[in-house]
Parts: sequence; structure tokens; C-alpha cells
Amino acid sequence: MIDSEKISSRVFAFSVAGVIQSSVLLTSLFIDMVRQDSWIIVLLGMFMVVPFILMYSFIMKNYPDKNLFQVLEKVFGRVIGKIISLFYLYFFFQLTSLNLNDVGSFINSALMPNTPLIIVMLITMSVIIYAVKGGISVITKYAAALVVIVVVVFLLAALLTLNIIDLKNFLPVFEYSIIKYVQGTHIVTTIPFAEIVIFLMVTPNIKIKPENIKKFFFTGILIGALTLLLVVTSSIALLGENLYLYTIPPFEMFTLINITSALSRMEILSAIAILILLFFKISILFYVTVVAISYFFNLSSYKPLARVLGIIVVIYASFIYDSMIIHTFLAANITIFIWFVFEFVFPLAIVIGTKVKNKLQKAIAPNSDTEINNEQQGTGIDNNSGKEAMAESVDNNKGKSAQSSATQQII
Amino acid sequence: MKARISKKSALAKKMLSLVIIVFLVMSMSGCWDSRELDSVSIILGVGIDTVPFEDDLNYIFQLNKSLPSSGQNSSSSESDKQFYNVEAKSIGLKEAQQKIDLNLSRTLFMQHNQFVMVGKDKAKRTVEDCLDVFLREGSLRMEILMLVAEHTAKEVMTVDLQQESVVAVGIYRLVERLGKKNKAFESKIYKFVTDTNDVSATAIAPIIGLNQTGENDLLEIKGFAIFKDYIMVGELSLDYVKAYSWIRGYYKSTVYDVNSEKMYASINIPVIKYEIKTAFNKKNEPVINLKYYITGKIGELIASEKMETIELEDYLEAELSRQFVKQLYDCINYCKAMGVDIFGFGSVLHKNNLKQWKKIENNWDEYYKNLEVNIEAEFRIFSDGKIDDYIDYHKEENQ
Repeated sequence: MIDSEKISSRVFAFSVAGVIQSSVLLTSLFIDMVRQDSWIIVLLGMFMVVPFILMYSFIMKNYPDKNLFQVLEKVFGRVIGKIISLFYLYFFFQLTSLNLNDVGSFINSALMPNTPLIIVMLITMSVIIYAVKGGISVITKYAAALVVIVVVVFLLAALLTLNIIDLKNFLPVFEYSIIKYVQGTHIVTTIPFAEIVIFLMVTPNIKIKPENIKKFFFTGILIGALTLLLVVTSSIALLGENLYLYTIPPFEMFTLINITSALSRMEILSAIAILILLFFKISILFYVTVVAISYFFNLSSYKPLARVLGIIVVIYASFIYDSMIIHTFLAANITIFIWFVFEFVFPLAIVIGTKVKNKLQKAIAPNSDTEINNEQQGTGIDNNSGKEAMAESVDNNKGKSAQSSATQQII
Repeated sequence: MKARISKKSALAKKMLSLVIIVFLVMSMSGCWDSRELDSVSIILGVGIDTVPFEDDLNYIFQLNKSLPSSGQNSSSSESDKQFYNVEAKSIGLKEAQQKIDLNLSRTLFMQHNQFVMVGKDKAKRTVEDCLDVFLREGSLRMEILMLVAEHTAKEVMTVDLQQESVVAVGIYRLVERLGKKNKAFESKIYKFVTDTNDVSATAIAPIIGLNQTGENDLLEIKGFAIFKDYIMVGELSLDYVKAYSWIRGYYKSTVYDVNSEKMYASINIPVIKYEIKTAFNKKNEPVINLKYYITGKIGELIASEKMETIELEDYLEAELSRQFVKQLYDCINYCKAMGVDIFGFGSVLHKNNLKQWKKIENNWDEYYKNLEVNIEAEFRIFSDGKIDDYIDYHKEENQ
């Protein structure tokens, strides 16, 4: 294993929550669609992500000691597995770059308009490289604290704006055509929620009982989604008809806090919360990207790669889009369909592949040992390199993998 | 040899770390965006007027002047003023800012701007082009006040005030203070845009003028400008502003005056219950029902005809209801005649009766002119104040 460090199941749940919370910056993508009904979109997204979580939990449960790339090779064979892995590499790299670009654009537009974008991204990436080199446990160590801080900040905003919120801003309900709700739900499901597919790359690093994976996945999703719901409802209640005008509604709502002259203009709090979250998300994304590249090229360590790849990400993120307008348009209209392939289609293929294999194994179980071995070789279950086969045998002995144990029993 | 190399690499690493740390400290402290107080001119208010026979607008920026704080009296001689105005003709605010920048030794700093005041002439053309920048530009604040000048913004912004050394501060404090009592005065830009983006497409803004009747010039709110689709289409008198505030449910507590042949009474109203409900009549036309439950106590009483306490309370309650309902109807009819739904009745129907609203939204202006509005007001006087009789009660007893 490239990184042998382990994180606890609780840290895992908070990491999932943190990744979802960080999408508060992207709420304008779906707020534009259904304005005052955006809170419904978040709720629908919460339900729509359930099958995704079930799939990811199934994969993690069946391959607890394998990352996504290893799973792909195991299920689809070495060649097809590598090809799909290559696509995933693009996905991880693109996600990292896009989020880094978001940080730069946010700081540039909201906080430091005269500071060059590349400087902001370079500084952010320097800290991220430092964190990533520490390993997954370093990145996720403060996940719980970060998530709690962010929840407190947004709760505070909701409380401090109680004097100016207007609950009538939620009316009328279901004003728009169904297609708008479908589009909005697609966006909220694909862009923040199902992006947690990245955690399939760190499965071997999570200390978790297979039967508890679903529970912690759902806990993380629930915390993240409820925070998102809080942010969206506060934005609607405060900004009303103007909601759709703003690029970052959660940031703008903090500018309206005005309790006394001392307790006003608190957007810096929102900026801190958003930056904390984005830093956390990019760290995980960047970690996943470097680990994925290391696996893809069979490197023994990912750490030397971090600096070089970090610089490449910064350069790529600087030129990724000509403008925020194109970025937003593509995210809402094209990216969601591409991401859907990585978040749903490929994982679904893994689930189907695994189920078919399991059935095949059960079907041929009564036959002779020789036949089973031939069948396994034919389907590519054990056509890994000698080194990997050995490693798997060690895993089987330890009894970590349910499937490996089953195979051993059959043999 | 090996030890020397490792020493060298350790030193290189340390140097690299030092360079990175210095670089981070310099950059993270926001050097690119740093602003020193003595290098900026803080803008306190922006005025926008039309220019005769030109498409350009006249932008007036009120800037603060740094003065020594001690030994200065508050006389209003030109040199003692703590502000100065700079002007530029341009299409937009940013262009005006760039033009003015060429004449100043300090950079214009917009973050502390308190208001944008549009001259009446400009307001009658449109204010849409003036407001975009305040919502779009990251460094500008969207919670600044939106005001209309009685004549020109320049006239108001150059006045000498005795109470405040900076006009912009005086204007801001006046409107902000009244806004705490009545939400109608809370004329913030984001609220103005929100109201205009509503289905009724109307908004109001205070008209600021000067009261030059006394020895000193005073700022005065002359009424409210009514905007439809960002164009000023009419004015609301201060009496109508009161009625408007009642209809919108902006009052949480207030004072209401009764003027009749028998007496003048000022009623302090600490408790107001307000309901706005929608319905559709048999012809499927919208109906608005307003209900008020108002409880108050007498604050001042000047009676030409003396009454017993119970009789007085009954009389006041009935007179209050009658005058109140009439005042509200007058205001509604005035706005109906103008064809502007400043009360947001359209919005209430849209929010509460979406299906029916979809049927009438295209002809809302027509429906609004004939809109049935029912007003019910129930007043209750719960206290006579600190005294429970007329101050000349002995005369009454002698009689």
C-alpha cells in the first residue's frame, strides 16, 4: 500500500461531511434554476444520493483492502481496468484543478481583487502539498473540528440575521416546471453529493467494520447536506427575490448582518468558513490524485510526486477556463453529465461485475477445484501479477476481505 | 564528503523554507490589496444628477477631509468643512471614479460609502443604470441607502449643516434613525432592487430636500419617490407614507394622531396585530383583506368637548378606526389611479395563490386598478396615560 496510514470511521464520516459542506460556494449553480425552491432541490438531492451511497458502500464492503483502481482491475481485468483508471485520473485531476480555481476566483473576487490569481493558488497549493505529504491521517485529522466550526459559523449567521429574514421569501412553492427541479436535483446530486466517490480511492486507509460503512457514509452525508440546507434556506430567507442575482449567495448573506454598528458586515466569517472547507476538500482531492497516479504507474511512494503535481495543478487551474461565466455555464450544463459517468456509471458497472462474479462463483462451487481455478483465471479474478496475488493471499489469511475469504473457502 | 553534502542540502532546505515563509507572509498579508489610511480618500456619499443636453451623468463624490481634531470650532466656513465634493461627468460610476482619480493625490476608497442619491430629474428617466455597479462591484456595499434628491443631489450634498460636520453623515443618520422606527425608511439598495424584481415591479425611496425656513439649513424628508421598473412615476406624501407603512405591515409600534372637531388625541401604539389575506370573488377576481387589531394608550389629549372616560374611549376607538380606514383607502386609491402596486398586493397573491395568479399575472395592472381591498381595523384604548381625567377637571366639577 502506497500510504499505510489509517483513519478512523468517525474521521471518515466527518471527511465526507466536509467535502459536501465545501460546495456552499457552488449553490448558485442550482439556485439559478428554482430560486426560492432551492431548499427542495437540496432535500431531493439527499434522497437521490442514497443509491450512490449504497453502491459505494457495497464496493468498499466487498473490497475493503483495495482502492478504486485495484477494484477496477480486479473486476474488469488489467487492460480495461487500467483504461477506466486513466479516465478516473482525469476526473480526480480535473476536480482538484477546478476547486483550486474556485478558491482563487473566490479570494480574487470577494477578498483581494488586486492579488494575482496564480499567487493565491500557489500559496494555497503550497500548504496543501505540505499537508498531503503528511498522509491521509494528517489531512483528515481536524475534519471534525473544521466541520463543527463551519456549522457554527453558518448557524451564527442564521441567528444574527433573524431580524431581517422574511419567511414569505419561500413562497410560492413548486412554481417552476418539473424539468427545472430535475435539472437542479441532477446538479446538486452530481456536483457536491456524489463527489464523495473520491473516498473509494482511500478505502484501504479507513479503519471501519464492513457492516458500518453505510452508517458512517450516511452520517457524513447527513451532516454535510443539513449544513448545505441551512445555508440555502438562510440565503433564501434573507436575499429573497435577489437570490439568483448573486454569484455566491452564502457570502452575500453575511454582508447583511447588522445587529449594531459593531456586529455588522461579517462576511469575513463566511470567507474563512468557505476557505477552510475548500482547503480541506482540495487537500483530499489532491491526495487522491497523487495516490491514483502513483498506483497507475506502480510507484512505491506518492510523496515525491506531490510537489511536481502541485505545480502542474496550479498551472492547469490558472488556464482551465477563460472566465467564471464559462466555468459556471459548463458546470451546470456539461460537467454534470461527465461527472455522472464517474460517480454512477462506473461504480454501477463495478457492482454489477462483482455480483455477476459472485453468482458465477457460487454456481461453479459444486464443481471440481480444477474447474474453479480455470474459471477464476478465465474471468481474470486472479490474473494479477505474482506480487499482487501474494499480497491478496496474505489478505485472505488475515481474513480482511470477505470475497477473498469466500474464494479461499471454495478452493 | 557525504556529511558535507547533507549539511549543504539541509542548509538549502532551510533557505528554501525561509524564502517560502517570507513569501507567504508577504502575500498572505495582502500586500497587493493593502491600503494605508493616509493614501485613501474615503467616499461617504455618491450623488448622481443629469447634465442638461448631454447623455452623461454628473457624479458627485463626497469625501472626508482629514483635519486636526483639537482646537477646531464647528463654524461652517469653507476651510473648516470636514468634507469636500468632487465631480465628474461620465456614463457610469466607474468611469467617473477613474476621471476623478486623475485629480486626486489619494486613491478613492468606496467601501465606506453610505448612500447613493439620485437627482429627481435622473430618477424620472431611470435609476437602473445607477444601481448595477453597487450590486456587481465586489468592493461596493449593497446595503447602502437609496435616496432621491428633491431637486439635484448636488444641492443637498453641498449644504452647510449645524448639527453634522459632514452632510453625508447627517443624511445617513437621519434616514437610518427613521428606518429603525419605520421599515419604509430602510431604503437600502438591495431592498430597492428586491422590491423592483418582485411581480409588482415597484419600489419607493425617500426624497431628501432642504428646510430653509429657519436660520439654518436643515435636511428634511419631503416624501417618497415611487418607482416602477426603476423609473420614478410619482410621489407619496408623508401622510401616504404612514398609510403605506400600515398596509405593508411595517409598523411594530408607533404613534397615531386623531384629529376631529371634538378633539385632538395622540395615541401611543405599542401593540399591532396585522393580517393580510387573499381571496377570489365569484367573478374569480382577486380580493385583498386587511385586518388590524391595534391597542394603544393616550399620549396627549386636547379636547374642545369634554367627555366621561368610558364615553371618551368609545369615541376615540370609533374615530380612530374611521380615520385609519379612510387614510388607508385614500392611499390605496391614490396608487391605484397611478397604476403602481407599491403595497405588493400582486406579490401576496403570487405567493399565496399561485394557480390563480398565473391566470391573472399578464393583466395584473388592469386587475389592480379595480382590485377589491377590504380593511377592518379594531382599536382598543387600554390606558389614559398617567392621568385619568382632563387637567382642568375642577372646572368641569364646578359646572
